Amino acid sequence: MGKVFWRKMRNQHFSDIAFMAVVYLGLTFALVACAYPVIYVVSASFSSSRAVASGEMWLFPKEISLEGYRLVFQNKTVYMGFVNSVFYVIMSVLIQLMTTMMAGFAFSRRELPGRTWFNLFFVITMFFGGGLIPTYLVYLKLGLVNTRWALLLPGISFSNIIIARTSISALPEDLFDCSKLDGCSYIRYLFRIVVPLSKPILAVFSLYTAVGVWNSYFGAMIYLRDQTKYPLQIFLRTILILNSTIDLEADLSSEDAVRMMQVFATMKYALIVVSTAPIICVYPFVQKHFVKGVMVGSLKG
Amino acid sequence: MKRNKKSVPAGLQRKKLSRRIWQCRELYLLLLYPVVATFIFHYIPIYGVLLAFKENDISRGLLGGDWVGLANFKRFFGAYNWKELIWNTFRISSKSLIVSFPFPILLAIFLNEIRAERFKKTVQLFTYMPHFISTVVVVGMISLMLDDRSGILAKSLHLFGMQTVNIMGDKKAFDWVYIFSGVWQGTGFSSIIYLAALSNVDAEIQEAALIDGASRLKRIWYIDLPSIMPTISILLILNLSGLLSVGYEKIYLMQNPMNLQVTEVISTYVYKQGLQGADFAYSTAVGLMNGLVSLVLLVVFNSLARATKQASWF
Repeated sequence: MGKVFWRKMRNQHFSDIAFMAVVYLGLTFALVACAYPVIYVVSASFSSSRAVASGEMWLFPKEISLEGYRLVFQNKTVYMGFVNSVFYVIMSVLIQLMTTMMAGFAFSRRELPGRTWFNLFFVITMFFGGGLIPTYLVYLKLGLVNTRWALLLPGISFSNIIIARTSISALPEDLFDCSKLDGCSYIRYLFRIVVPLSKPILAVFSLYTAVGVWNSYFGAMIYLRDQTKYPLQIFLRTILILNSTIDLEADLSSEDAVRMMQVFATMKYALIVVSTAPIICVYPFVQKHFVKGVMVGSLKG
Repeated sequence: MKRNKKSVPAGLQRKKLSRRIWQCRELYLLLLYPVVATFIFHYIPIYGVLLAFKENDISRGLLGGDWVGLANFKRFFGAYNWKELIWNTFRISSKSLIVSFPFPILLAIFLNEIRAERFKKTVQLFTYMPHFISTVVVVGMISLMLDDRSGILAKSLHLFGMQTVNIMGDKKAFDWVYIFSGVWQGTGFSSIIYLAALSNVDAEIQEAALIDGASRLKRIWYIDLPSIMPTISILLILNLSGLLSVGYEKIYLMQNPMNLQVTEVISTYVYKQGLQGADFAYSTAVGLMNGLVSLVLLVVFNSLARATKQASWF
């Protein structure tokens, strides 16, 4: 670093050096600000409840204990929510990928009569909507309320369809002509040629859909009644925010109240880690494709 | 979106419409489910908005009972807290837009200046992370860490001999907790689109400026910023038109009896009146007003952007 570094520095404006200092400082601050709360939560989940409550633990785990995790894994509702959420995520991703690729491909074919009208049909939904209550009433009248379908069926994302269309249009047209000469139908072309060539975009859609479904609670709160169908986030809300102990009382009735509060806090930290880890562990692998997924800005045209 | 006649394969051009439709039958099959689902879950609710002008009697169908004209709307303006609701909605959303909008741009510009790839990747990895943490967990983390007795904030303030208040119940603190937790959640991820725009800036212009001896700040101000202006403009329009649909999911989670006076926004009010109180017609009316104002905002800001020769949304 030494020599090269100084040679580089000499060739720069003083204002540039000052500016780069600001840049590095700012970015370091952003890094710390984003990472610290997460590190704190993870460390707290592995620490003893006493160390957390007294404030002795502030960065790395202290008096390592798995008490919180023991409580989390004993909690039946958490387990139930986890299984339900996994189900919703897998189903939603499948539905989302199918519909998005199908519609995106159909839109990418210029010979489709009425393409403009279909486009308009979808674009309108981006600007108009019935709002919460009329939508709820439609679900109610269709008998979808309190069924798992309520969270799965409406999974159409027009912005995803547009991204898929743009990406499919970028494939060479010769590919289609050749396949057609060989007697390949549209549907066969879609599944045999387009889908295998669209893996990066499929990865991004899967990640975004999975994250969205895994992290959402509002739809479930509106449309579901039975606890057995609740996704994890609903149980998280009950425990983390409404501070309900659910079936913890039985375990801890013999302990004194203060201690119970401390243990409960540790359990919350462990619960946050358990519920968030699956997503956090996956996104770095798809990170390089993120840009493709946010190009909605190029929607014009 | 205009159909380009030339790009239609030559064989198809002279054929009749009915024949062309028949040839594309598989494509229609592919569009079937998305179209039907969109019709049912988007278009029927738009029609269902008529409930706002009806009696609250959904046993007689989606559209309620008899026509009551504007009675449901009048009822809203007779409610004791209607001014509060509108003020809260406007205050929280505009404040949060003004404060949080510049952060992703700044982060993208900073990241764009960095040549040390590993440092850059690390910053990106960690700043994107909060986006993947659910709102429920974020609010849970806030209430754990800002707790006035056991939270880390209270502990560290205590270290300096300062006292803390119960931030989650504090009316004045709510806005800033809401906004800065939003900044924490969204800055990294929103910067992606600006970074992408910055990577498209013409390298030759940059080099020319470099040869002419322009400093980094000058290059950012005169080259980078103007180049990403269309992106900024489009995102600003989008955000401005979404002013009234504030992040009600998060606000709802952050509500508690102590701060309800400053946190009740139109969307959470609609949810409580409509779904918890089964007052469907009335809450549809309130929601409809909210939606209409949003639409007007979108059109106004979009035409403003077009008038100033910036990129417009439509």
